[in-house]
Amino acid sequence: MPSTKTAALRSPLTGLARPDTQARQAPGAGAPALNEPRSSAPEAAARPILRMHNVSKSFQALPVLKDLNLQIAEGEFLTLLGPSGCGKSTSLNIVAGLLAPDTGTVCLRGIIANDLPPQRRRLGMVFQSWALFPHMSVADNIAYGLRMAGTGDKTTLRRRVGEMLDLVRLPGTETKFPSQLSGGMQQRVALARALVTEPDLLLLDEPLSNLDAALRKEMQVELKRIHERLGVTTLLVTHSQEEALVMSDRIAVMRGGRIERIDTPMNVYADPRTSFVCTFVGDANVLTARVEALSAGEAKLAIGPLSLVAPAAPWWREGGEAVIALRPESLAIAAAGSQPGGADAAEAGRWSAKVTDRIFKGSSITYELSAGDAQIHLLALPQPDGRVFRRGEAAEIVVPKASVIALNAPEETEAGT
Amino acid sequence: MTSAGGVLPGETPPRRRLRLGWFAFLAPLLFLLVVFFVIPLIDLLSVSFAPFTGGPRGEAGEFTLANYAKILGDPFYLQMMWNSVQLGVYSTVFALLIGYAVAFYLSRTSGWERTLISVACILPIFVNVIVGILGWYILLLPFGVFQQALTALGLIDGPLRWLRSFWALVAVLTWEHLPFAILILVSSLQHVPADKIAAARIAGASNFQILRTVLLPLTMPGIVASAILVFSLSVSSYLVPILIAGPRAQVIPLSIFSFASELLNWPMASALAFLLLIVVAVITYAFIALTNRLTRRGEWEMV
Ligand SMILES: Nc1ncnc2c1ncn2[C@@H]1O[C@H](COP(=O)(O)OP(=O)(O)OP(=O)(O)O)[C@@H](O)[C@H]1O
Ligand SMILES: [Mg+2]
Repeated sequence: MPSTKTAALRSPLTGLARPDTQARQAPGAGAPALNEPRSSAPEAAARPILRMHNVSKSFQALPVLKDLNLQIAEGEFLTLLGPSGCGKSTSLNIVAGLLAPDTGTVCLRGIIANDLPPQRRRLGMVFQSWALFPHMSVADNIAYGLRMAGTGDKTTLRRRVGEMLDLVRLPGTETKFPSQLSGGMQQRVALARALVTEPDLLLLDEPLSNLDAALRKEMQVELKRIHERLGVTTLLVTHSQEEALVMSDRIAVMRGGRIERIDTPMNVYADPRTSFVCTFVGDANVLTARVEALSAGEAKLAIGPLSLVAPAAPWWREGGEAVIALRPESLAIAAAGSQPGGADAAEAGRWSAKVTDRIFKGSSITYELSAGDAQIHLLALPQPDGRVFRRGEAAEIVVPKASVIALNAPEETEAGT
Repeated sequence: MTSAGGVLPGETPPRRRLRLGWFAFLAPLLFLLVVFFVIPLIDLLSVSFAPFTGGPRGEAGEFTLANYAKILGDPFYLQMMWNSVQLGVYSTVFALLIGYAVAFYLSRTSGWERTLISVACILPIFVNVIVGILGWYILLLPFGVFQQALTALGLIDGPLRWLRSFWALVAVLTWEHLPFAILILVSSLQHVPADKIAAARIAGASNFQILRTVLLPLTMPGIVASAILVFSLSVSSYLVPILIAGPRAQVIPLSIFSFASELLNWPMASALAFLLLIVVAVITYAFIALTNRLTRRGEWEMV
């Protein structure tokens, strides 16, 4: 019976963190350590706050979501990352109940919520435009959810508004109107308004995209801090890989209405599996090679005239094709004709190349090189000897074995098409 | 904090230039306004203070309050004023209620449905008012098809005297001015961003709460504009009372007309007209002040 459960969950509006969240954490321990993943797989299966199962949605016969599956564990920060138009907002609106899925189920706290109206889903949401009520003061905006639920007398409301403003670091702005606040401040108010009702799930639809770059960085840290403090389960939608990498416990990379890869930021980055994920999360040189020989777990690859000896992926076949990715920061540039520095076993290949462009970025330099038929860019840190390569200069690209990422495992290829 | 007009404190906008430019644009309009509105109004005012001596414009140069005293001291005219105000208030209330509902529906639909309803709503503007009113006349006739049909269906115990009733006037005035209200309200509802409504809904607001706390405050300028329009048009309507209720209808515009063209008593006609103007202005002002206070307009801006 969803209504009784909802009523039971509407606990007295004490403290900032929900009681169950506090119980999960060791008393006094504060936020859990960063490297301790909140979202191990068994937990996700045991207590999913949200479960989307085979959700599809079309707009006028245009399929936007195709059998989307997603689970969020309690306390997790999950990011839907994908290019514009891939259906991120549509997914979020379906979770919020603002859109109905064509097929599939949406479960909240284990209860099928397809027919639950938005106002009864116990969600908080921050919109891309923040959607503050312009005719209400900051305090009235924040207290809105509590007022509508009829919870709390005047002093409780005032106290809660004060607490929320402290949380988002805007104390003393109660009587201001949204139009008197800067973008970043409005964003904080919108966050406070979404959090005041202690939602089970916080939905964020590109909340930072209207901010300038510096503010965006600041708010990323801020959002992360608030998430750690409250432990509120969060679903963020963004097309910014940086946001996703910085804030999330897990990232779901979306493409064309499907989730192409879902894992922790580090795993997604290290093992992107498809060329789309590889180039969308981070930067990469994606190359198609021919497998010349396979032996003892090693493969000899040929990319035109360039050759490479790399750990073999299980699905590579002799004479077949192999798609690999090389992250720019894992490659190195060396002077032409220089000798491998002893540990050549770790080297997959060494290609002579020509510098076609050089972009100086302060802490690093990006070199564009042409090697064989390939255009390769790599990221070089300033050399101790101050050596930089000039445009047109001959150089060598050093490819370490660990830098070769095998893409397009067969099942992923099918999922991608 | 000044009411932030978008100009930063440090900037000095090129005001002077701008003003001259605008004046050039406004000059023809101002000219028309002065010639066809301000001057007649002053004339009206001066005539209303002249004694009636048989000639239409009264005794020029003499000043008397007799016309106003006569109106304000006579329960007949006060009742008439009250009738007119009530007609205006009721038709405004109904036009706003119906108009807001229709406009709300329109702002949420699209495609052929929207086109159909829009056309149906705006059609009365294109139909000649007299033709439209005659249509109503036929509807309301005691032995008309409409009443007969309703009687046959057992819905009313006809024939009934609807035609000269107060509510018949309210109905026709509402009908006549509804399109204006709908047009204004649709545009104002469409300017409420959908995500503000979604935000309210997710925050737990019911439909009624959303209407009360978000839609009404944000569409208040449109509500005020359409209310003023419908009210002033209804109060000053001449055709509807004379065609539906006949020349004996006790409303100010009819009385003004009979003073001016039948009795040739322009001073009385002017005084009545001026009093009506004042009443409309006072009620309008009170309404604006009230809604401004309720929605704290002027303190906030749309974000
Ligand atoms: N109400 C709608 N009617 C018709 N098509 C829609 C509607 N809403 C979204 N779409 C289409 O569905 C697709 C996905 O939209 P969605 O808003 O989910 O994208 P998104 O991933 O959020 O993109 P962005 O990053 O630009 O916000 C788009 O091609 C869009 O044109
Ligand atoms: Mg979007």
